[in-house]
Amino acid sequence: MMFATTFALDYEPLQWWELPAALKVWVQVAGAVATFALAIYSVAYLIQRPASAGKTGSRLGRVVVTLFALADACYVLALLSLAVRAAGSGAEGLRPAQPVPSGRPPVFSSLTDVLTFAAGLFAVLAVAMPLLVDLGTRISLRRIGAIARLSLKEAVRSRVVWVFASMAVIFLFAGWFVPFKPEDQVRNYVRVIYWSLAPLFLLTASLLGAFSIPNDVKSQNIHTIVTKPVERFEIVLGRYVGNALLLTAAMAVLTGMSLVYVLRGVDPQARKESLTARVPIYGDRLWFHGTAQSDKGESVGREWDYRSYIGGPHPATPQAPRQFAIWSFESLPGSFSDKQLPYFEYTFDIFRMTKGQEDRSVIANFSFADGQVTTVPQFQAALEKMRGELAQEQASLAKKLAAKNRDRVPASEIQAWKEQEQERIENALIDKYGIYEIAAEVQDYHTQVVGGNDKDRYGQKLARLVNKLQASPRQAAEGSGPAPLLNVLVSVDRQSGDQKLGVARRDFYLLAAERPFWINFIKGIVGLWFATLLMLGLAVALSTYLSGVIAWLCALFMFGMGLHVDGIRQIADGTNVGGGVIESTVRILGKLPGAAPLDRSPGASVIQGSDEVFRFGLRLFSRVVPDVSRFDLHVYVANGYDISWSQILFLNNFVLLLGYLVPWGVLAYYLMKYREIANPT
Amino acid sequence: MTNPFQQQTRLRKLIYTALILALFTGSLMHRRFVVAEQARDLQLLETSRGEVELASSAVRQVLWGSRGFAVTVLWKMAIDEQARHKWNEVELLVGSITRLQPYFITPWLFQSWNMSFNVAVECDKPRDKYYYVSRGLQLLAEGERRNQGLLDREGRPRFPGNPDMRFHMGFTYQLKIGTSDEQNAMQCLLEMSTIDPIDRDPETMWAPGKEGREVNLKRFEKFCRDHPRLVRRLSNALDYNSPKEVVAFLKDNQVIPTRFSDQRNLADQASELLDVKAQFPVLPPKVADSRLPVPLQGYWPDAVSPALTAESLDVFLIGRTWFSYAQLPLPPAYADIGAVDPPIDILRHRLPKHMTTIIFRGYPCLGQQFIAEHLQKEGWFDADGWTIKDWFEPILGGGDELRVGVEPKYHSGSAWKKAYQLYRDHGLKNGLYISPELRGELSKKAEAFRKKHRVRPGERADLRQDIRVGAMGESYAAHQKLAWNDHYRQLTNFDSHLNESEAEQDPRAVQAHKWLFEAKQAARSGANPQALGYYEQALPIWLDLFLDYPRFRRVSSTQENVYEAQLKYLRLLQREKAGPLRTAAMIVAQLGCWPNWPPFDQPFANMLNEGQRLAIIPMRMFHGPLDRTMIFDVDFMLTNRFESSQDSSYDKEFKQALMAWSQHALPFPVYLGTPSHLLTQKVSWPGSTYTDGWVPLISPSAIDVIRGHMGLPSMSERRPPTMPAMMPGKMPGTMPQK
Repeated sequence: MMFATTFALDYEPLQWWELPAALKVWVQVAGAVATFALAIYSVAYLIQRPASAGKTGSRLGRVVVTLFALADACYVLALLSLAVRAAGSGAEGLRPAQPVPSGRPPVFSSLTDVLTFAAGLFAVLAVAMPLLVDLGTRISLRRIGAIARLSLKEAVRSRVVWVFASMAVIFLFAGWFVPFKPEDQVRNYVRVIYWSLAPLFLLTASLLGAFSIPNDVKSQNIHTIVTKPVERFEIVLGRYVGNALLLTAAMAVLTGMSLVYVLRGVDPQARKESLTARVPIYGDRLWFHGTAQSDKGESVGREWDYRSYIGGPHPATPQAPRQFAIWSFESLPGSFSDKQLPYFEYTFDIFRMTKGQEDRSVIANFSFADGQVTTVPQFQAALEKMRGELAQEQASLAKKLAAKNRDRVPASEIQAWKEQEQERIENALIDKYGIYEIAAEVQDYHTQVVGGNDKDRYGQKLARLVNKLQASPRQAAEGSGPAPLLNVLVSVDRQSGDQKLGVARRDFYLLAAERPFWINFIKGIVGLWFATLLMLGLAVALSTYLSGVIAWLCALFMFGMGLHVDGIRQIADGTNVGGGVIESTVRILGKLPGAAPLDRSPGASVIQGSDEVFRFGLRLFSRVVPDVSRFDLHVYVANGYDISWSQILFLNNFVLLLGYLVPWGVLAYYLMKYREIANPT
Repeated sequence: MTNPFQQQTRLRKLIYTALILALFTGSLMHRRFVVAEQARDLQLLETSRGEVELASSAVRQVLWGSRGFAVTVLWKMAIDEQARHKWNEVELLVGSITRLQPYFITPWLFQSWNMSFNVAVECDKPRDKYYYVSRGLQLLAEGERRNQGLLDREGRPRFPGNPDMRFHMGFTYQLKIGTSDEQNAMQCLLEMSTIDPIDRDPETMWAPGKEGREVNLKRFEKFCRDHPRLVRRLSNALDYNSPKEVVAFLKDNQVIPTRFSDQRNLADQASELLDVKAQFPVLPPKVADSRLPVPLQGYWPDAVSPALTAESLDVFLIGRTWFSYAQLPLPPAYADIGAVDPPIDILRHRLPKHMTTIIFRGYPCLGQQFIAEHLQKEGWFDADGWTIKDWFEPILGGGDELRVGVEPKYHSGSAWKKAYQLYRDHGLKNGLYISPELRGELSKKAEAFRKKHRVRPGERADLRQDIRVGAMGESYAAHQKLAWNDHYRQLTNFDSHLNESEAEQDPRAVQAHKWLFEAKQAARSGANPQALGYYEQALPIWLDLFLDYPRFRRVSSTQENVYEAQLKYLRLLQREKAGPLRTAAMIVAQLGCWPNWPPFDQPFANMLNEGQRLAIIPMRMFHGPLDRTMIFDVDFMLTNRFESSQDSSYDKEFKQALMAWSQHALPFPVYLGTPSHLLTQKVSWPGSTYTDGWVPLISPSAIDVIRGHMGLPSMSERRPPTMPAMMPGKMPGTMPQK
């Protein structure tokens, strides 16, 4: 099986074990914002406190004040803890550096971390308490439903739904303008569908969300609603739910049509190779041997550093250590049998240092080895020993074959016997050494299966090896956790020694299963649906205070920034090339290179200090920008990789959406509540 | 009866209506006959620029003023996706960019180059490379169609197309398929693109055999006969050494850009051709023979015919076609090039933007030259074709071999002949070739101007306009014509091309190349004695050719090629005859020890140490048949005139006169050779100096270039090997002391 692919993720999806840490950060950030808001509110309240206000407030008010006080207290304690740690850091600096702990980091790294978390939690509770109380006591689902129905009717009457008919243009004419390699057909169709659906739904969601409440205010319809026994937040929720339902229905219809568009007339190559949803099991860790750093290979100067490279043994440098890229699998699912063989797939890049032989591919060696062989020299020694034994066995086999030929044994009988003997030799060596080696051609931008056309034969050997390893107990190495189950060592073969292979963690995996494409396509659309809901929520929340056009522009701005959140974070963290805004401007005007440091001078200090202030602001801003690239799942669909329900859709999409929209919901609650619309006073 | 007010109102309405109708009709007529005509004349209409695409126009109209912004964003996205190696997305984005600005030539050129070169080179598999080269070419072809210009009713160009785009089509074919690192694989794929997928379907080439599936040799034989160049390239250049491997290659590369659709014709025997625009290799539209140089008339590849061309399919043929097509927007060729500014109608003609026009005009000839060279390189010379050994033994019987590619279209001599005709035609039309008679006449005429203004021949001069009259004006014009002719001939290296193509069409040259090719093949397969035989047959022919075509001898690339062949011959000879040569060397060395001759009853070699053996055995001063040959350069004697390098008439005339003179004094003719061999060979001995007029057959510079390539010391720097300090006679106990 071979198909052209460029499946590469620019980010590592959130793992389940990272969820507590992510929640902690969320509480800390949301808590800081909530504390800030409460502080401003407190100051405003104290200044504008009406004379009629009693000394004792409502019970809810007292709870909020208490929570706020607790939050403040925690912040003070956190500051104290920070101060103590800062004071002690001078003495710590004299001690030898502690080794970096391996494995998963703890959720809380220090007492300050715990205290800021606690403070954030109290602040969030303080801010959310009135809303929670309202949700429990005053908010009615029936009324929300009624407003949602109203929103739907309004949208239908205003012929908004016709905007979705524009997709017909894509369905009818896109085929004329979409060139593709046969194996790229599905990939390009999926790309075109996403490029079309995404702006259509995001723009529609932003328009619907941004203009619905301001239009109510403008047309004064809102007065007829708020004077009824309707909670103001119910209007917000109703509008949101109504528009979301409309968008969901439209998306469902267009998804069905898009699926028909993608699936019609698929080229056989594309059907065989891309119209699927592979379930990969990636190695837990990729590490290197023979390169300057153990966590990455060599750089060949490519602008995109997603992959790093290993080279082959070069005759000019025989003493140089052999370079390996090693995938460690902590565990593999179940046991394998003849019916369920382990197929390992790979997608490597090739960087040629010489022309090589024309029309001949680069050869790589895949060595599957027991994870308990912890060092590469140990592995190499075992491999050499195994190869020697294999050579002896082969020589012995050749002698026996010659004898059989002399004895005029029928050719078919000899062939059967030879295959049987080879099988026996290979099995014995696997059992003895726990190593199995396969040489295979590499073709870049193609995913290939280890073993190629003989994948079943090789799969049987690998099944034997993996089953053996799973049956044997894992021993923990001194000072670390248990050894991995399997290490796969990849190296460039001697005959392609001049060339380099580019590898990344996701370039090699065990193919666990293949699922239907259409389900994966729908999952991809669900990601887009989450993005649409996010845009809608953002627009609705902003429209509770801003006018329609301004709310719409702000929503677009926030979402647009979300598309470039990685770049923003790089600038905020100071990891981008060329420095901050002022430094970059100076470099551009002075025609200075981006990578060279500025000369040490008072001017440079001022520039960098100013940029530091700017970065601080940008860091705060980057916390409120949504990371919308996470909702773009088309890369999975287009390249035929399964989108998992739990990890990708729920954890990386739904939880993210919820975590982002909840603070905006709370903000919308307060903005709407205190907006001057038919207020009694 | 209506009242006067109503009548006035009615009259006013009638007048208004009439005015409206008159104005409307007038504006329509004005638009139709004045505005539209002017717009067409000034090429302001989309339809006058080339093909129009409705969707592209619609999108551009919809974008209004934000087209620039959209293009910038798309360009940035394309660069980002390219950095991330997402080639399919780059392709989509590039398509959008070019559609948004179809009349801006640079994006077409840049992005097609980007796809064909930058994207293609990132792929390791030739099939993937080939796909992106084809996509780049198809993109540029689309751009060319959008800017193709317009013909008038007589079929003449009313508005010119873009010569640069057309040229880049040919150039990309040439560089990416003709001469790239993977040229053999790419050329195989190109040829496969032109073969009906039914004819190259690997499934039809299998048949059940004794050991499972075997190649159906009958079917495969037909394939070899129909496509000998493809099979030979696979076998000789890519080492596909059996029918099974060739069929496996066809299988691996079954789906490639092609000329044919999936639909079969009514007889179900062949595939339907794709629309001309969708085919690959993409070719320019048919051009009337009257607009082509005579040697190319009737040879334009026909994209609507399954056979495509009557010539042997070659990437350089496609290149030549595009280069020829690129000439059409140029102004007509002008024989007084340089001397007088040619008249150019800027609405009907266009000049190339990035290349001197005269060099640009020479590319069709160059394309034809590449075709001829390529045939030679692959081993196609004459009616002997290619003999396929071993593969077809089971169906042909013992000893029989299959001979393919014997048709005249595979003969390199014919291709060279066409190249010569093209160069001559090109030279005559563009003032690069001046016949000896005309040259003499012009030189005579130019004397007056040169004498009066003290101008040397070949020196460009500027005479005031008011005195360019009468006899002096004519003399000045003659001088200028000759001076510019010299300049452009040097600029375009025209003489070398002309002389080379003239000599290479000679059947002896074809034969000599063939033997050199056979020698190389034999040496590659280890048949050294046969290889030596081929070399020994070929090298004397080269000597004859150099003597018969003295200007051809001066072409540096020819000298280098022949000298390289001789060096390879010498290396092979030393290797093959190592035993006798070593013995001879030892005997000479032994004799050289006189009067202290070593004892003859034991082998001399055993008395030597390693250093001494090394000094005697490797014969560094080993000369080949062409090394010591000197010839008399007639041009040198004729005051080293530059212009005489265009044809051999001076040389021939001189030698004929010499022979007539020498024979005249005798009672009967005694010289039995040909005039060209007269006064042309002498052997120079080491240390001899060259006398005036005598030059080595192979120039020292050509020798040094090749020796440098082969890692040998330069001849000019070469010194005889220093003898070891201790001679055998001084070795204790080995030689008798005097």
